[in-house]
Amino acid sequence: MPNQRRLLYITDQDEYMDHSFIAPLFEIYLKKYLHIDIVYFTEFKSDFEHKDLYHFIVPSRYKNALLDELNRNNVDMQSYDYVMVRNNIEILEQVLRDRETYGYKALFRFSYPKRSIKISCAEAENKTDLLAPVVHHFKTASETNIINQCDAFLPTSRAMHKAFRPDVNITTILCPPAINPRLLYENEQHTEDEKRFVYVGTLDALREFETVLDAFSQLESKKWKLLISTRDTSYAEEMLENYPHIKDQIEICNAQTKEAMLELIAKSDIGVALLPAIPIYTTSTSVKIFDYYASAVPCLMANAEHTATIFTNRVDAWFCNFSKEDICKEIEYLITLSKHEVMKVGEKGQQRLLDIRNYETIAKTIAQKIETL
Amino acid sequence: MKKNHYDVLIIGGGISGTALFYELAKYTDVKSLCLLEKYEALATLNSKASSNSQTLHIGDIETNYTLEKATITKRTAKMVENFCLQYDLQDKIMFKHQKMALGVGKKEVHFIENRYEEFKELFPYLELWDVEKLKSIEPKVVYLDKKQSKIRPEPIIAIGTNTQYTTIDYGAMAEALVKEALKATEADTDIFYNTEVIDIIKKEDKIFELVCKNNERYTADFVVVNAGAHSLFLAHRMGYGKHMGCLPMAGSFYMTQGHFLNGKVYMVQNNKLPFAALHGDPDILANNKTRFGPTALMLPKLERYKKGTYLDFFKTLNFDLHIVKIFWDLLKDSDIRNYIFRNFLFEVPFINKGLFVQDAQKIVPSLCADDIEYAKGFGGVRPQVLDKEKEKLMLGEASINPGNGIIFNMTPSPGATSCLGNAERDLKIIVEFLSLSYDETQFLKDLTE
Repeated sequence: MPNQRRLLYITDQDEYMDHSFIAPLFEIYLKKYLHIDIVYFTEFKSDFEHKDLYHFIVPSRYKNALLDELNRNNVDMQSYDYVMVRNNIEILEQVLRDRETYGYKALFRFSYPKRSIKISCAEAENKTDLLAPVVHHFKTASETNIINQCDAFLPTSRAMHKAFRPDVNITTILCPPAINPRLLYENEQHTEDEKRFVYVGTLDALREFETVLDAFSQLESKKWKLLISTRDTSYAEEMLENYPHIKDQIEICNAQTKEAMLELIAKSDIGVALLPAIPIYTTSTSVKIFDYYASAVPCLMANAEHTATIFTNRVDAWFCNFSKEDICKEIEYLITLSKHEVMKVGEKGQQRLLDIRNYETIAKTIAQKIETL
Repeated sequence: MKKNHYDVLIIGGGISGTALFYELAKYTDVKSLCLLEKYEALATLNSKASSNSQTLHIGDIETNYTLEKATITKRTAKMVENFCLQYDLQDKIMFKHQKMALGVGKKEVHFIENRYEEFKELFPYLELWDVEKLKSIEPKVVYLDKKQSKIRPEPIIAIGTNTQYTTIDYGAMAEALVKEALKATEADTDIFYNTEVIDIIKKEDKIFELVCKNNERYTADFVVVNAGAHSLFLAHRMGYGKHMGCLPMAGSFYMTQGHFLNGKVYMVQNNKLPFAALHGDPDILANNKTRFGPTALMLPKLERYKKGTYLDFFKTLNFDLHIVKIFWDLLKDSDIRNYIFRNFLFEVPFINKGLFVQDAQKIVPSLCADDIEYAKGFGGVRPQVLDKEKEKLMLGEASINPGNGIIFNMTPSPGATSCLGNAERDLKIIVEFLSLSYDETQFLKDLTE
């Protein structure tokens, strides 16, 4: 639309990444209210690429001089009303430096606490660098100062804001993950006798998936199967070596695309989103939960404050503490449920998300708030 | 007509100069045309088959190309292929080999899969080859050991083809271009060897006078300088292209004892590096032994395996604070710093093979130092252009056209593949400048259909 305000969204992601979050919000729903161009990076291509009308692919070596590179390639920075940067503080600094020159508003989207995750992962693997927390503290303070120069801050959740960027005190617009109302899948309802659980996503020391496997290994019932889809298949296989007696009931897959992953989910009964109760996982709703509910597959999730604001235990989801005893108990219960009962929980959960957490309504709210800046 | 005067004079008898010579002779009504070559024969420097990778860079397996660039290189590569087919040069100077870009590790595998999806429409013959397929067509990239009993641990995948022309002896092609040009034209044509141009002077009557080392002087209405790094040297002498400097990067190769790989295997390119990623190619001059390389070493001279040109290098580098800034920016990046340092070590006797083999093992994990020898006399110089205004190392080719009847071209890779395309661009400028006729219909029919 000719009179739409223009937003340049600069991600820190690779052009070929599965942009499961960006795709619906920035590529579809926000476009109803704003003209949006998106910058992705490439580690492989040598030249700038104007891929189609709305996408610029920039070689990663220009990350430190991004705006110069965009200018060199005839991207009119002056034409944008808003420039939003995702996660990358160095790029945000460039955007803030040139804000007056081009006259745009600078926004910072904080999708996840990358450095905190790195430190936590190192701790989980017993590779703690003693200096890391100190450096992290000072870097966070310095980054907060930079973020506070922006016109708006867009964290994934209030809890994440509070936990990881508590001193950011500028206008805040929440930008949470949600369900895409245009991409809902039928649950295929397999005919096997067993309850089929599915876990999709990363596996690493931090996620302590052993706790979940410990729980499965304690089950008395054999009427279950667990599908694990992860890119870290070798990690998963190695982990499974420690569970020889349940190995036959677990299948490791590597769904390469979002479509393949959703297909796998649709063939399952219950999604697993059990993560340890640490701030990285308790401050926002895991994206995999939305993937499960897109196929109306109900979810067994860790009991956390943010999940309780969306779902109701045993109505449209199942909550459980992250301990093998509690998980085991809950799974035992789930195995006893009929297919119909499970299906109903999935349908209610999907409807709940459509009512309160779908990209269409979120986009409208975000756009309205951006336009008042 | 004045003595030694030509409508168009081309400096440099490599693949770029001869391509322009051919196109002007065959498709325009130019009345007189001259080619000046510094050495005793055509293509004795970078176009010589032992100096380059003999590869037709179509853009299908060159992982650092954007779709837009690949669309252009596909057309220019097709022109080279069509030229060779037109004169029945297939299997004489142009060959088909299997070729692939190999992704190693999760990140590269993910990239290759996505790149395949993005590029398959432009290159419908491309195939995606998984480990099982690679076991049968290029087993050495799959196995860790020479007995081929253990598969490498990292995930791998490749995009490739075995149906396309991939390999060109560009030195032989330069000769063929001149041969066919002379057959095709009735214009006055001269080719002078052992004629080094040391200066170009713009005369008041709008013609250019070329001063040669052997005291000969030539004049022309239009001059095109296709002399590698010396193009910039001559441009600077005339006061053009002062915003550019030249960084000559020498590339060396290592050769296996016998036939090793079945085809060309290219690695995924690091976009920070302007040079082709390490690759393995069957060498058409060496009985298809596999050549691994190129390495990249900055040399303070403009021509490899030739005497002198040290002073020319310093003049062409055009050293000042902008150049310092470019070097500083390059060296502060750890990837580039490590790359430069490692590539320097690849030239140091005794330790070079052992170090090089570590890099080449990314292609062939079972490769050991005993399998390869430093290929003496192989490799050339790639004149990388430094843009002093933007304080950047430019990737690829550069051309200076002041618009007054002279053009200077620097054509590092994929310059050989683009030779007929670059010549087409220059031809159009010349035709307009000199008001010549140009049979574009025939040109397009012969070379692009």
